[in-house]
Amino acid sequence: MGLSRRRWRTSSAGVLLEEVLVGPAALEYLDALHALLDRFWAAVNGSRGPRPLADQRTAFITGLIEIASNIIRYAYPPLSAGKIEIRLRLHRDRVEALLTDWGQPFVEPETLAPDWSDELPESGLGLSLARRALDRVEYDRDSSGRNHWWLVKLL
Amino acid sequence: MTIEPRGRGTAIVRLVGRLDLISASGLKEGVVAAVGNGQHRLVIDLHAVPFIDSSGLGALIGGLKAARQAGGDLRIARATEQAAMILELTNLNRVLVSYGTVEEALANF
Repeated sequence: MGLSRRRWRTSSAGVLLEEVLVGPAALEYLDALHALLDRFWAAVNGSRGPRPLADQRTAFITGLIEIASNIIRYAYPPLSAGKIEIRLRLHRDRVEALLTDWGQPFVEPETLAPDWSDELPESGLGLSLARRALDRVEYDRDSSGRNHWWLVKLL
Repeated sequence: MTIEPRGRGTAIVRLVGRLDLISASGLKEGVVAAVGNGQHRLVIDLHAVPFIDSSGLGALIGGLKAARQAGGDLRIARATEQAAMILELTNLNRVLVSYGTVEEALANF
């Protein structure tokens, strides 16, 4: 976990298991991502690696789907055929997801972490929810114009 | 989604499958239409909903607002572990009251 801000993008040290899904950044990708998660947990259960607890798996899925949904909704202009890639990885101490897209830079909204109980917001909850569900949520854009997200749930 | 009227402005909304970016708008429209038809006391049965994301949560909040504006309310029943977790993480469990059974939720109207 002691990775520097940018090292996480390229480091595959300590990966016990990996599942990858590449596809169009469209709503159908979410169905495929849930299927990928099912395969990933099945592989985790059959491995000699650590077994994430049920609530750790649930939190990981919840945070991951929020960030993937944000990419599908906002990374590309409507009706453009953009791409998204997600790698799910098991380590001794964590499960992580590496998300890549080739869309516009992510700009964090100014109104982060709204007081949910006061305002009853109907949208804009995704990133804050991901941060609460996960242990790390990192974003970086590389010099080739790719966006990278690193999502971690510690075990 | 099926809407089961129970009389006196009360109805049960039963959902099947994930409540997410794909399906959330359908729920919001369904609830708003039900409220428009005079069913402003709604119980959303989440028993067959294995996963809710923030869009789904937004649809439930939208439905709650519509019901309250009509003088009613919206409760949820039989939330799964994931649904309970997302409600707790967002503190929305304070406004979206969850009941163990549909009958309990109905009895409290």
